[in-house]
Order: sequence, then C-alpha cells, then structure tokens
Amino acid sequence: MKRIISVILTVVSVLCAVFAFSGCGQKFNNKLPHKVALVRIDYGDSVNKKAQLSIANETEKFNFSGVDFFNKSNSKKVKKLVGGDRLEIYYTDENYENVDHILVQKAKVLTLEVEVGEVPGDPPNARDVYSTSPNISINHTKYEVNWVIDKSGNLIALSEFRDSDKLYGTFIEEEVEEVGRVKVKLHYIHALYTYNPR
Amino acid sequence: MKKFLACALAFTAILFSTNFYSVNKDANANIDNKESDSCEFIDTSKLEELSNKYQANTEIEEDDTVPCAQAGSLEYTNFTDKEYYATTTFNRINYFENLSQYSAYNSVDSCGFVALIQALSFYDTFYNRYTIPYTYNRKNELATTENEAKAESPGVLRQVYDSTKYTSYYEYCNATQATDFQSYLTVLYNNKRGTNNDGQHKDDDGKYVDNFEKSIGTQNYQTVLNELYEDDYTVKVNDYNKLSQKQYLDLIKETISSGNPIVVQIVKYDSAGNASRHAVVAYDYDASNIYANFGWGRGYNRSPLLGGSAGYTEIYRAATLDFSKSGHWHSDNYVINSKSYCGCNISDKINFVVPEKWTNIPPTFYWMKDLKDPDETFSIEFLSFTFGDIYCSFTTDKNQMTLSANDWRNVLKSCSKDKGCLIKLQRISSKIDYIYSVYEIKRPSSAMEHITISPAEYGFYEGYNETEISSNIVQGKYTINTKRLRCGYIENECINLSARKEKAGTAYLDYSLDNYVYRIDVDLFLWSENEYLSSNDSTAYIQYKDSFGNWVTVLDLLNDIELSTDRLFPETYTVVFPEKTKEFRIYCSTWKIGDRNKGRLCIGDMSIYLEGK
Repeated sequence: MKRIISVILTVVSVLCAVFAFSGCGQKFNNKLPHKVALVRIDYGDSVNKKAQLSIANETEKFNFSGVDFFNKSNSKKVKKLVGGDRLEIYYTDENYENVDHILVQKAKVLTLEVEVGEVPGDPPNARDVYSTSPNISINHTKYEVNWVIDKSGNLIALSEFRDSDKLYGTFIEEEVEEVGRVKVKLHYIHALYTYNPR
Repeated sequence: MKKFLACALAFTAILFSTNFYSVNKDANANIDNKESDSCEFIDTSKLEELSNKYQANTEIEEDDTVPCAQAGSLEYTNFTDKEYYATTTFNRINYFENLSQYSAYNSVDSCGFVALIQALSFYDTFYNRYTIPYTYNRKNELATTENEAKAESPGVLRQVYDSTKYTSYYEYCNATQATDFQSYLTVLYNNKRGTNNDGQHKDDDGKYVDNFEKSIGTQNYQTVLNELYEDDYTVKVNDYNKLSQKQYLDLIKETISSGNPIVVQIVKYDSAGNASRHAVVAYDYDASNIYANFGWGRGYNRSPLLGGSAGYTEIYRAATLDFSKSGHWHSDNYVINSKSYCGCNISDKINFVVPEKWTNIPPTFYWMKDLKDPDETFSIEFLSFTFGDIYCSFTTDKNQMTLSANDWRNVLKSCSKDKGCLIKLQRISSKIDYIYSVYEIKRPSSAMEHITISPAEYGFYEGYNETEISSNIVQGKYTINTKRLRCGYIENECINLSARKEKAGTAYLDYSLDNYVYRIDVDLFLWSENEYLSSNDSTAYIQYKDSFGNWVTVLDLLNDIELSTDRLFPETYTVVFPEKTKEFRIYCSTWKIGDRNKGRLCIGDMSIYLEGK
C-alpha cells in the first residue's frame, strides 16, 4: 500500500513540474523592474507588402527574438502578437539589461464590416469600416490603419475591399470612450485583419 | 426632448403674443398631385412605404393616440362653417428654386452637409419648426409681399470659411458652431467619430490628411441627426444604396410625388477614370429631367440631376428624412409684413368673431379649414394653463363654434383668476394630424349690459294680426323696433305666435335695435299640448341676421329642443349669436289649415344682452 501511494505521489509531482514548466500555474515575479510597450503594425514594407510587428513605447523600440510571451491573465504562452497587444517587459535588474519574462495584455477583437462610403467631397476610393454591433463607433484613422493583414501576413489596402466584406479589428479595452450626446462606445482600431487573429 | 418642447412653447407664446403651437404625432398627408397651388402637403408616411419598396426597413411605432373629448356640455353650443381659406402659396418647388441666400455654404467640399441642411431647412419651413434649432434659423424678415418672401427661401446662416482667419477647418467649425449650423453639425459628427481634433493621419496613399471630417455621406446622416436631436426617434433616415439606376430614378420621382425632397449622391468620371462625387437635393421632375438644388448658388438651384452643365452621369446613393414621428408643427419661417406664415399655408390661429371679454357673453371663434381634406375634424378643449384640467371639450367638423352660456360659465368658474385659461384646438384628420394650437384667454372681469322685456311691455293688442305691424318698445335708453305677423299679447300671459290657420301659415316677431345684440335669454313654451306643430310639417326658429343680411338659424325650436306644453312652467333658453347682430326674430311656418288659432308658440320674459350706448 505504501508503495502504491509513493508511486502516485511521484507521478503527481512530475506532472506538476511539467505543467509548471509549460505555464499552467506558472508563477512570475511581477515585482521586478519592468517597462510597458505596445505592439504596432509597421506598414512600411510597401515593396513586399508584408505586415511587420513593431514593439515600442514613447522612448524606445524593442526587438525580441527567441523570446516567449505569456498571457498576463492566465500565464499561458501567447503564440502570436497582434496590433494593440500591450506588453509588460520584466527585467532581472534595474539596469534593464536582461529580460526575465514578458507578459501580454491581449488586445480584443471586434467584428467589422466594410462600407463603401464614397463620401461626396472626399477623395475617391474612400472606404470606411463599421462595427456590426449597434451603439459601437469605430475610429481607424487615429492609428492610421489603412491596410488589412491577411493570414499570410500580407498587407491589402482597405480600398481593395468591397462593400459588406467582413474584417476584424483589434482594440484596447481601456481606450474605449463613450462619446456623443446619444452615447456610443468609440473603439480605436489598432490593426485590421481578414481573419480573427485570436 | 420634453424640456426642448417646453422651452419652445414658451418662446412661441412670447413671439406670437396669444398664439402658440405644438407638435403633432402622426402626419399622413395624401398628395394627389405633384404640387399644389394653395396648400403644401408632405406625405411623410409615403417615405416608409418607399423604404419598404426599395429596401428592408425596421418597423416604426405608430402613435395612434387621439385625445378624446370629454363628455362636455353641448347645450346650445353652435358649430358653423366659416369661409377661411389659405391665403399664401408657398410650395416645395419655389422653396428650393430660391434657396440660396440662406443655404449653407460649400467651402471645403462639404456638400454632404450642405445637402443635408437644405433638406432639414425644407422640413423646418414646411413641416416642423423645430427641425433646426431656432438659434440657427435665418430668414428674410423685410418682405412686404408674398413674392418678396418667396424670393429668398428661409434656411440657415450662409457663411464662407475664411482660411485667413483660422488655421484649419477644425478650428473654424469649433469657433463658429454657436451660430453656423453647418459648423455645429460638423462638430457633432466629428465628436461621434473621435475625429474632432487638429491632428492628421496618413491615408492609404501615404498622404497626410486632416482627422477632422469635412463632409458626410448619407449613410451617416442618421448618426449625426441622432446627435442633433439627442434621440433615435425624431427622424428616420432611409438610406438607399446598391439600387439600379432605374430604381434610383423611380425612387426619386415617387419621393418627389409624395411632396418630399430627396438627397441624392451623384458621380461623374474624368477621362482618366477619376471619380468626382457630389450631394444634391432633388425636388422636382418633368418628362425630361429631375431637378435638384446643387448647393452652388442661385445659378444651380434648378439643375438637371444628371447631364446638364454639371455633367454628373450616375446616381450612387440617396436618402430621405422621415419626420413623421415628430409631426407637423407650424413654422414661422416665411415673414410678410412682420407676420409669420407656415410653408404649409394652413394657419392654426384662432380668430374671434365674438371676443372673450365678457363674463356673460360666450366667445365665438374660428380657424382655417384644410380644403384638401374634406374628412377633417377638430377637437376643441378649454383647459387650465398647466394643461392639467379640462373644463369642457367638443368635437366638430365645422371650423367655427360659439360656446353655450352654461359652458362659458363653467369655464370661467374653473379657470384661474390671474392667468385665465387656454383654448386648445386639435385637428383630427385622415391626412394631417396636429396635436394642438393654443389660445390664451384672459379671464374677463365685466359683464355685458342687458335689458329685460316682459310680455306686457311689448304694447301688443290681444289678437293675431293678419298683416305685418311695426311698433317700438322703449326700455330705458334702448329702443327696440318690432315687426310682427300673427302675433299678439294673449290673455295677459304671454306673446303668442300662431301660424296654423287657414289663410295664415306664417307667424313671426322680428326685433331690431341700433345696438349690437350678442345673446338673448327667453322663456318659450307651447300654449297647449294640441298645437299641431310637428317637425315633420312645420318649422320654428330663432334666427339672426348676419353681416350679409341673411337670416341664419341659431335654434330650431322643433328639433333642437322640446318645448314645454305647461304654461305654468316655461323653460328659459339662452341663445348666443355666433356674431353680433342688430336684428333677430322668432319665426314659425306650418300648414294653412283650420279655423282656429293653432300652432301657438309662446314667448315669456326675454333678456337681451347688447353693447351699451
């Protein structure tokens, strides 16, 4: 009997170690010095028309390769960053030289619809995007989102889309404002995708 | 919205001294012809039908509330028709043909806003005065004739954006929004979009453009109008897209035929295929063209929608504004000789024939009938200043009424000594519903003089004269001239008329005075149960002579009332004349039959209310 219990306990310990290693229940020391940065889409590659991620805050840009990102809410590994994700970069020391871990506050996703607005007086080929939900207003110009990212990471001009095409926009919950005399929730879009990136 | 209406009522009361107007609910004007010379009708209900025809639509709640008249006293209250017709001929076509000086200015390719404001101005002038907030209304206040008033259609401030005074259009709109309606709407719209700032962003060509949006498409009209009215029900925007050209043309013509204008977005292409878009308001059509106001000044007020000098070739979007939920509220935008007129050409002003200035003389008042609506009926209420208590109410299809003495007495007893009370007029119609127009009554403090004549004071002999006799009755400072036939002072009891006898057939007693008479109180009865005066074969009236010299019946003694046959207990009848008169009579006609004096109609004491010397 004692032998059986001992085996069970060993198996459980091993399993816990495995899960801990993989992120389930993984604990991070969030009292370490840290910086905050935002994930943006760099639309600069007009030759290849590929979306590049840019991680930066007001004072510096970051370049992470071979680094894992973990979801701030459940410590699970985040496989993919999208525009609007907010990173908390924790360092081992006050010199901010070595990264201990990076937590991601994930941007949320809104389902949108393209409307060929063609506002009289505006330049031609103007497109606008609207939320499919009522009482939600969209602003995609604040972060200059004029391109849409497909699954291969290619950039497609918003003007290429047709009326009623479905898109997905990422936004940061904390940026949502209630605007207007008839109140609506204004969402600032950080990136547009042809698919739900989450 | 309630606060807004309350303020609007107060403002209008001041503006029109004793007349002010209110909102209706469910306008359903029916238009047979494209334009009207007299009354301008706008069938806002047609917009919903068109929306269903050309695109899916959400249900609109129908408000079928019709105030019910209380069971008020109808005792001898008279309803008559009075000739009172539309005197102006404002209409949609001459409105848009002359909409220049008070049209918003297209400084920065803001045609989407210009067209929207033109359409709003139209409804503000013809349908509901609160379509555009009053502070933004602009109009010609110096016209002395109708043609002068028509020459510059009312609207809003026309102001050019001066780029030398402001660093940006954003700054200009925010600085001028208190007076410039286009600036106000533009700011409201940009606030909603999060773009009311001085920043810029890169467009998809990599060029920097202002965040602040200068124009608007019809797909966003609902958004900005909801902001303007702070609700989502004052106006419903029907936005049409993805129709064929033929469907657009049919839609436009049907909309115009219903009396409504329509905002149309049109496009043309240059030789390189670059599109140029514009928004206009279409308002008329004939066999050759649809005509629109292009918002570019007087030379383009009546331009062909497609083709023409502007050269637009295609329609790509259109929108109508359905204000039927807010209903008709008379406008004051047209001004002639400092007097305001609504574009609909119907006045709801209450006018008095007999003024409301005596405690013992009920007023007679009238209002304009809508000639194109034969089914129109009206509800009249006398109520407290707070619109709380209703003292009495009536329903009629006539446009003039004289209150009975009893009802007038009740009204005065109930109303405030300081403030008086209100008359509320409501049109209940199959075509256009109005909630009410209101007239303020100040509580009178004086009574009209009256004299009383008893039968003995007439000086008539006891008998029935076979030929007309004229004689005078003197009562104090007043002299009453009488003319009578088959009329005498009988058995020292009363003055009798006897029309029923061989060679007779008619009996009358005619009173005429130098002073105007407004009311009489008279004891009337039949001499016995067997006078053989039946409504089937006889007539008996109290009549007065109107301003045209015609005899007008105010009380039918055989149909309106049942005369007592007990001489000991006569009834007193109060007869209020719908207009002042100097002559009235009691008249009777029946068969020329029998050898006895029958058909005996008896007159007891009579009080005559008259303007003093």
